[in-house]
Parts: sequence; structure tokens; C-alpha cells
Amino acid sequence: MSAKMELRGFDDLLRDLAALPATLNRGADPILIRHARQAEARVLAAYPIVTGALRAGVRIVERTARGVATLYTLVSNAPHAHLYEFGTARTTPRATFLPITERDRRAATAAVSDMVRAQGITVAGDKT
Amino acid sequence: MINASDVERAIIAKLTADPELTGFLPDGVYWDLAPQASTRFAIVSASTSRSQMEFGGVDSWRALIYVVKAVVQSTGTTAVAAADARINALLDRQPIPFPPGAGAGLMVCRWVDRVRYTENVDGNTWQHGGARYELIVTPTDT
Repeated sequence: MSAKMELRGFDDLLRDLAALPATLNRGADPILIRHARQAEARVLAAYPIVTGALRAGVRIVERTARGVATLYTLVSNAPHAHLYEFGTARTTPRATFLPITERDRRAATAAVSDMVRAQGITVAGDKT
Repeated sequence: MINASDVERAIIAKLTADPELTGFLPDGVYWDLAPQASTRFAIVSASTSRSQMEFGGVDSWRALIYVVKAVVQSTGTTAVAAADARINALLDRQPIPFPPGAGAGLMVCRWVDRVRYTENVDGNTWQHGGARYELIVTPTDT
């Protein structure tokens, strides 16, 4: 289905605005999952393998928010993931998960903004 | 050119110079790792960073995000909470003097998100409390 909005009157405007979230959702979904998978791959590549537990705790959680948008959340839930990221009393912090996910979240936001703009809709705000 | 190392030294210098904070954390403020046998200290470490380019091939600003946390060997949480609050009072939306060589001016330093956990090492309990702080800096030499 085309994402183009063609306005011919107020009724059309209301109809198209109502359809906008679903239309955008369909266009944003592959962008978001692609960036989530990229971030997942980068985190897995950056984590060391000792017992394998750190890498085993990395996964993508998918959920639908308010019946409109599909959200993909990358989690790292090994019991010691926070100790690796922020450090212990005797080991240095190793910022890994947060820098990678922040970069990919910004990239995903920029890509979705570009997709929305391509439909002729003004997107305000900073892509960073 | 923005010298991030000078920015980091400035954060540590500001925290180290505060007598109230050093009262809570007498072993000092360190980058990444404290000396052995330290039991009450603060750690500053890099979390992430990003830049905003502008025309002309220069950065309009850079965002440098650091973890700044108190680390206290204790089963109680009072000391780490007090140190965390003092760090917040010193950094969140407060000035941080940069040395001239930093090549940067501070636009804002702000609290981003909380870092708080408890760790058990060889029967000893360690409290970690602090936050990630974002420093937006702009170059002064362009």
C-alpha cells in the first residue's frame, strides 16, 4: 500500500490522519528490526566469551505499544551484565552495551525520520 | 580541537576539590579503577559519546557521556546515597572549569540516568551509586 497522502477534502484528511499510524508502522517496522538486529550483532561481537553467559543474555524483545507501533528492545540480562558495563569494586567499567545501542537507536530514529519525510510529512526535531 | 582527556581531568578535579565529597569518599576520585585497598572512592569512566557536525567540516558540539559513581564497601546504603547526592549536586547543571588546553566550552552538564547496584565480593558487600552524566561541549578554537 502506498504511504502517499492525497488530500481532497476534510473527510479525506480525517481518514488519512486516522490511517497514518498504521501506514507509518508498516514502513518503520523493517527499519527498526534491522537496526535492532545490527545492535544485537555488534553487542555479541563486542562481548567476551568466558562462560558464554554474557552473550547468552542478549536478546531482542518485541512488543506492540498501544496497538500501533511495534517496539524492539535489545536487552542484556545476564546476572553480571551491569557489572561488566559499569565495573566492579576491583575491575574497570567496560562500556559496551550502552554505546552500541545508543548509536543504533539514533540511526534508527534518523532512518524512520527519513522514511516519514519521504512521504511528504514534516518531521521536526533533531535526528541525533 | 576538543581534548576529551582534559574534560575528563576537569570532572575529576572538580570532584576531588570538594571537601564534602572527599569526606564521604576519603580514598579519592579515579578514572576507571581505584588503587587496591580502597574502600570508599568515586569512579569516573567513559560511557558513550557523539558529535553534531556543521558545515565546514567541524563539530558544532560533542556530547561526552560519563559514568560517575560512588563505590563504598558497606552493607548499609547511607554513605553511598550521600556521596551520590553530593556528586549530583556538583555536576548536574553546574559549571565545570576546563583548562585552556581543553579547546572546549561547557554548554551543559546534566544527569542522564541512574546507576545503582550492590555487589558481593568474597563476602564483602560493595555499594555502587551514581549516574551517567552528559557534558555537551562546543569547540572554542574554531
